[in-house]
Amino acid sequence: MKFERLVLKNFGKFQDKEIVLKDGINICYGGNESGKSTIHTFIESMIFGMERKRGRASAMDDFSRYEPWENKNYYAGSLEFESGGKHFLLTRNFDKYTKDAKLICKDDGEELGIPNGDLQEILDGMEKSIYENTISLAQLGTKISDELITELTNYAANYYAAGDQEIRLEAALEYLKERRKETQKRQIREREEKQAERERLEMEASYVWRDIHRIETELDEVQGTLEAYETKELEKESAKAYYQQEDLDETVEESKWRVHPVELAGMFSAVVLCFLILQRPWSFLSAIVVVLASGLYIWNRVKDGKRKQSPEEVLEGTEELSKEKLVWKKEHLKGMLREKQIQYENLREKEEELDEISDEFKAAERRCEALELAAGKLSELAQEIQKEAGGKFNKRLSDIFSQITKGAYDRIAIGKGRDVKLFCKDRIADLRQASKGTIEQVYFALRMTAIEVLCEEEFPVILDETFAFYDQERLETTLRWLYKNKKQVLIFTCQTREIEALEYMGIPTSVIEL
Amino acid sequence: MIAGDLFHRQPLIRELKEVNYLFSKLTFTKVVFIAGNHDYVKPEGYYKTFVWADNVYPLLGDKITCARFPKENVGVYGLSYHQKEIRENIYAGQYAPGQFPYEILLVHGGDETHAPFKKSELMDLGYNYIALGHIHKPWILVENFAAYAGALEPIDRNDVGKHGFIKGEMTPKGTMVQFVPFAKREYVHMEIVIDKDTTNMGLREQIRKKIEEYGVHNLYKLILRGHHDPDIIFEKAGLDQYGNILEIVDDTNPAYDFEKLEEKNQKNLLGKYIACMKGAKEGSKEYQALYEGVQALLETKRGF
Repeated sequence: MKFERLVLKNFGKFQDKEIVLKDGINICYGGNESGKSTIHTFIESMIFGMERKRGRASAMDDFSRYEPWENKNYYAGSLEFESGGKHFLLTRNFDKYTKDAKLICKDDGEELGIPNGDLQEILDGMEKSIYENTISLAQLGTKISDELITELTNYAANYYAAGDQEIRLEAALEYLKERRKETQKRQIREREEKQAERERLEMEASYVWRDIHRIETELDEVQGTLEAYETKELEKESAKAYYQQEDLDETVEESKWRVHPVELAGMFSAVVLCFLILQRPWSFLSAIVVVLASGLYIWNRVKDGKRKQSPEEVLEGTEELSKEKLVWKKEHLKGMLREKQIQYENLREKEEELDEISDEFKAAERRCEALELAAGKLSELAQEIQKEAGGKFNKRLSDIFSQITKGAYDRIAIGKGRDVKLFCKDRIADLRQASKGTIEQVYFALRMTAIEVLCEEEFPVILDETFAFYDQERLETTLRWLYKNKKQVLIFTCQTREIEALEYMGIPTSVIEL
Repeated sequence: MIAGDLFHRQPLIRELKEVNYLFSKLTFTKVVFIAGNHDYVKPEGYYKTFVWADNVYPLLGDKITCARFPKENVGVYGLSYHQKEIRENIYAGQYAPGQFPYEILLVHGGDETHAPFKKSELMDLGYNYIALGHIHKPWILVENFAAYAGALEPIDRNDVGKHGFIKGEMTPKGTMVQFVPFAKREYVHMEIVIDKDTTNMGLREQIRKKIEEYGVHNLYKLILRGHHDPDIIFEKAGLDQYGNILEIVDDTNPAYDFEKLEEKNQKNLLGKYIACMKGAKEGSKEYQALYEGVQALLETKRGF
């Protein structure tokens, strides 16, 4: 990419200011307040647009700082540039009301859509953050060295992680972890479903088991009663035989007569006697008493006899009936028991089959394994890249640094921690011990290295008062290095030493005086 | 003829009564059956004592016995399982006795733990037909000679394909058998192939068409295969338009152009990851990991 022409139509203090940039080194020279920073900001705003800050911060943002001094509603500019052999015209309006941007390919007149990412494509992934950190180099002079080191190491760490600013290893690993959790959750759900099914089966089985138990006790009871009847029957039979031998008649007679005839005869004779002995009316009276008394006696005996006899009779009847019933009940219970037992075993079998692992479960397990594998491999590769890139990065960094210091230092090493070490021929220096100028040069080398690593397409390098702390010799070597290695360089300066040095070295320079 | 596993578990008496009732209602059909590994003859089971209808001929011995049909000139032979597993080749050397012009053998099993046998051995036994049972899927083992009838109806959702029975005719010319589909519904595992142009609506239509084509009365498990547009997420809700989809398995992968991605990202983690994993065989764990890893990197990329 190469800038060709900037037109600040109405931007900050400028109106219709045209700046033509050439290949090689361009120096934008001007005193303080001449608008160098304005141009610097203009380029950035042209490429990335100008986002307003919110609230109070908006009073101090770029938008407010470079708002045109006159005619604030017209806040615009254009940038012509070349990329990949094609020429483009980018125009932007920054003001609130007509804010828009247009990108036209000058070769074929095609209008390209900025929101569609056509500009992004041309920029080839160059983002504002990268731009600010690499291409556009402001001076660091005012920054204290500790802060600088932090910035350097942060920058390096970012770069090392994935070999790309866009790829975020940590986020990717987190993503994989999330997916694994999700899959595992599904597995857990399946396991829970199975557990519920198992519990249901177990419950059913326990009901059946309880039934079995109940039937068993009932069966025992029936069996017990049956046995009791059998023994009783045996006893009775033997008792019967005994009675038959010993006292057969008596028992039979006794049982036949509830009121003995002799008693009846006695009662009758008593009534007759009453009439014979006593006179009327006493004879009637006493006869009634005797009749009543004997009637009472007979009634009593009859009742007594019934009570004595009936249990035996009833018992004998039910016994016969219930025995049959019990035998039938026993068979029935046995049948039920068998049925229930089979049912119980079938349920158990079903439960055992639940232990089989389903295909879905296996698939989920495999997915988990695959996710784990992916995460492991990514971390492994990231480490490899870190090592490799770190080595390469350090090598290129050392290379550039040694060139601009004319071999005063032959190596810089940025470790994983915050230490930047400078290697001379005979000693190792910590960056903290180095001079401000040297730190600036490390910073410069670092950014030049980063551009090479991060950007496929070569972008112009913008240097803003970068060389303020450079001594003459290092200024010259650095400028020479830029001339040799960069297609287009834009240097902002308020001094003439860069121009003089370039002239002295005979390097063609395009000077833009503000 | 039922070659075992009439019941999936030990039958209850009430179940036997039901099935016996149904058998008894057959007008001229005679039923011969054996017990298989699922409903094997247990000492305390009901097979031992149950009294079957006159037209039912159970062959429940653990040695081969015969159901005789002299009028039809047919003898059906078979034995029943008396335990869950039979690891021996019990059918080897059980030659047809030759008592009838037509002799049929009922065989249950065929795998390692259920009466393993060799096809050639069965063919040498001298029967006119061998009725096989055990697997749920109908399968003609030897054309017009030995076949698994499979289950009449699918037993569970993985019993895919047509189900029915084997119908055969024996004449002096030989035996002719064929499979007769009978089950009303069928479980279908249907693959839906999608490509990078498939959208949710397109997928819906594709599914509807395929289901209409294959029968809306069937029950489906859909397996989505292929490579989908990385930007499209398939919504499973709304795909079941006839209420006959039991499950949808998404086996698709994003349609990444690995070559292009690798080339574009040679120097960074993404490119290196693709280079490292791209040799994975399709369907392997590594293959899945390749897609998952790339997806993770792309989804979490800055600015996406």
